[in-house]
Amino acid sequence: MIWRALLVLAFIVAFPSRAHAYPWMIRHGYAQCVQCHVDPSGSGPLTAYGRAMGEVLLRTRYKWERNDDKGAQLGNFLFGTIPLPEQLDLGGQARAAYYITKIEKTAVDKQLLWMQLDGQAAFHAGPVVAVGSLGYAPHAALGAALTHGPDSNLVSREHWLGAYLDEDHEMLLRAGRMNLPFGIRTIEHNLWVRTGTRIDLNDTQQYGLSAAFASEHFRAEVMGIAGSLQIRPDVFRERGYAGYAEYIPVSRLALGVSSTIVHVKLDEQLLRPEWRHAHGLMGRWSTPWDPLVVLTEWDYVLESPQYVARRKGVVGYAQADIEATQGVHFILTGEANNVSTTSAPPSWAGWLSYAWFFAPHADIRVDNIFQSIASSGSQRTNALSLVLQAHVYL
Amino acid sequence: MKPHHLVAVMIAVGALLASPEHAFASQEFPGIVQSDWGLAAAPDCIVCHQSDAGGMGTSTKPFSRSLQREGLVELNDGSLHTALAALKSQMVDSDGDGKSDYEELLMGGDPNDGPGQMDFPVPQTGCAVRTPPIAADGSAQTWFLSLALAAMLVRARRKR
Repeated sequence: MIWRALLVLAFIVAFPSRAHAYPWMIRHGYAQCVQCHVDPSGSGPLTAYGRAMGEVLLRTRYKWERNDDKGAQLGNFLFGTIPLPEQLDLGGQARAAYYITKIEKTAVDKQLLWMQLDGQAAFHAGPVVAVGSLGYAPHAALGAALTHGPDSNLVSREHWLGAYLDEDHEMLLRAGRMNLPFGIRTIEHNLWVRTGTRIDLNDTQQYGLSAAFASEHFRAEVMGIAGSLQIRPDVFRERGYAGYAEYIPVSRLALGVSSTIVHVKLDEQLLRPEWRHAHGLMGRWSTPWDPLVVLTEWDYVLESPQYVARRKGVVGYAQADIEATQGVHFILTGEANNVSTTSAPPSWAGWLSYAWFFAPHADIRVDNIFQSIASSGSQRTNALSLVLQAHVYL
Repeated sequence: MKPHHLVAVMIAVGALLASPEHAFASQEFPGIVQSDWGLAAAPDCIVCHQSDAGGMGTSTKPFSRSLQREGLVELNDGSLHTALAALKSQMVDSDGDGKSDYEELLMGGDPNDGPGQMDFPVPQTGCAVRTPPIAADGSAQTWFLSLALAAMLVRARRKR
């Protein structure tokens, strides 16, 4: 058994698993995240139910496939080849991307990036739940690094221990390194709203203590942030809070607010103490036209370093996700951002994306992104990107 | 080949395939600074990095921080072009010595040695519990290979 356990562990580490985070699942009446994810605010390890839904609702189903329970077992860990005990959820994800970017008056830039190579595990024992991830980052993700190299690091994006405070598992108290509860959790971590608020699913998780609540019509989480212990020295660590509250009047509509305030003793770039604020609104709506889901988030950002000009403004996006047939998504996204030290006009961007969940545990995605970035004066710089992604999860 | 051998081989091959692409784009950065600003020679790596070894997370000099402030992203040549243009147009003086970074580099000087520059700590990443230093060339792969080999050894010992 030992060698099997080692092999499974090595396998999920070497051939990854990621934080799924598909907020457009509200299309199927899943306004909450907790049915499918161990983390009540979404992303991270899937529950057994979440895996089954991934197979039944997420991907394209073909005529020749079985549509019974045996067919749905393909969604289980390693396609159901290794049964897991009820207390254990294992997963693994690999996401690779090929970027082609052309910025006005510069040469074309091409890069192959391994975006994620993570294994994830969740263990349940009565009211207690423990979650951990371990992965390999050939480049970047330094905020989650366990090893000390400039690249090629082992990373752990989250590891936390929690306890449910009630029998229905509506309230979860947890401590450890977690995704920050703020805004819409989406895999598109390069949206301006994610980079502008410095909160994404990539490597900006923090250590702290969190209380989460999820019921039929309401979900919320607030987290006291103690900083990322994977960043040193202490002066670079953020401390403060982050939280959101979302009201779900009907199963196809969710409206929420988010807020965070943190302080850092030394901003890495400005080399000064800084207060960082972000406060905003978010919404998810599964429209009466079934294929269409609309997502939106708008945040006011204020970064106030000592003695120098504040950066402030609004950043946000609106996204229309059209699922033409099960598993095939056409996604139109518009972004705007005027967070700046000056009164520069807003930058804006448009995305035209296509995603196909074409097989069990696998999907591909293409993003065409046009950005018009405002700079000093009335000058603008235009950039065009093509991003090709392939994603596999165990 | 038995199934567990196949899995072990897959792990080893996967670890090798996941080998790092060493700073493939950042190595071009000094040349871009030279061409964009019309310098006589490409600046040394230490105009941005803590040492000539370079590497991500070590680019913390004032000049580099000014570039980052203007949107410089690791491994992204385009973002460097944009940031350099912004620094030049705004005549940014990263070290507070009264001369802009552009002027200093054009004259072969150092944009980091002015009186406005203090000895700030360098941000570091990784587990705070100190572990033996890991080579910058991708030693995390050895963890995967070690794991696979350990599994094979345990299996072989059990057979005996």
